[in-house]
Amino acid sequence: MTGAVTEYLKWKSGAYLFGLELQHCREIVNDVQLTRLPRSPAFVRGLANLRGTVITVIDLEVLLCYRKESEFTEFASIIRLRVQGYPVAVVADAINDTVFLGGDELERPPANLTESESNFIRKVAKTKDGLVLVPDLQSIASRIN
Amino acid sequence: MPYIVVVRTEKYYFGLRVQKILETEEVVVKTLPQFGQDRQVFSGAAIMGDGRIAPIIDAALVGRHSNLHSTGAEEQIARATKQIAEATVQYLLFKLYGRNVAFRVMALPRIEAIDPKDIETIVDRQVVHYRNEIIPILPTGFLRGADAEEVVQRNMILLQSDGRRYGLLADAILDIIEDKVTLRRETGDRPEIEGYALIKDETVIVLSLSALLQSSLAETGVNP
Repeated sequence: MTGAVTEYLKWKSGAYLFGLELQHCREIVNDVQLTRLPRSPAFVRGLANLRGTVITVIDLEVLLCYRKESEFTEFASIIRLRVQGYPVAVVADAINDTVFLGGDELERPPANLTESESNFIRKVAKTKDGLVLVPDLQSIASRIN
Repeated sequence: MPYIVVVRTEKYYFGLRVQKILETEEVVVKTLPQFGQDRQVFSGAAIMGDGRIAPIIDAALVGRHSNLHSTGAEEQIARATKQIAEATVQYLLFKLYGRNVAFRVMALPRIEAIDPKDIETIVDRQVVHYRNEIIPILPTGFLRGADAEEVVQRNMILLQSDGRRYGLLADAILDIIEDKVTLRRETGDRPEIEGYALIKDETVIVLSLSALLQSSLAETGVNP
């Protein structure tokens, strides 16, 4: 492992493994109640109330077009992101662990990605658990705002 | 049984079919992202007492998405309707001590169902407990006739003047009418009575809210 080493939070959403620098993850909340928001884009799973703040909860799998629609569930585990503008969280089916990744382990996404993937994936990393997709927070925030 | 909630936008009245009416509540509306698309029908969201989130509907957006947008002809109709509306006045019609009573309204006031147990007399005036606030009730005893029926008043019309809230009790709320009304007033009538009018073929006492507030304040010596 060479280059600057950063701690990443890893989580699973469907069949995909995602990772994000720990400094960009504001908090993890398990089993938060969601409220459906009709007529919102398919990638919006719902709204959550976190201590009086209304959080928009998004489904990364749908945002990346891996699935067409988000399956609404009344409760979900979410990771609140540290972004500018509206408060945002992503749905996590299983939160794995944190992992230290060096700069040499992270790669630019391959050129054969779909438009959604190249818009919202910043980097990829090969780990022993599989390929970790690192979402691009700025693109997600600008899609929400 | 479904209900229809009548909403008004800048140009139209239309109905929203709802399954159940819960209650009225004052809420803080928090903004929501618009997702850069023209599909949203919510102006924001509020957090309710039990922690759940209630998305707040924007009536104008619902109208637009339901194709209730205006065409040239519709705009003409809307303009004509507006002119008629400006020439007529809205009255809130209600029963008080068995009489038909009304007053002019600029905007529909809040009407609340109250528990008679929440009404109490403090010194020389009645007040009602309403959402952790003490609301003075405007005295309307002068309307009570000797033969007045004893009706427990369970409705309160919530009025606002100079930032203060007042309640006006009613036996029952009858209707909101929009009409040109000819008022007749007799010399010697109390100032709180603006006049009498024929509304829906019945004689109605039309109250002057400003005079009612004035006399209420004068009677109790309260500084507005």
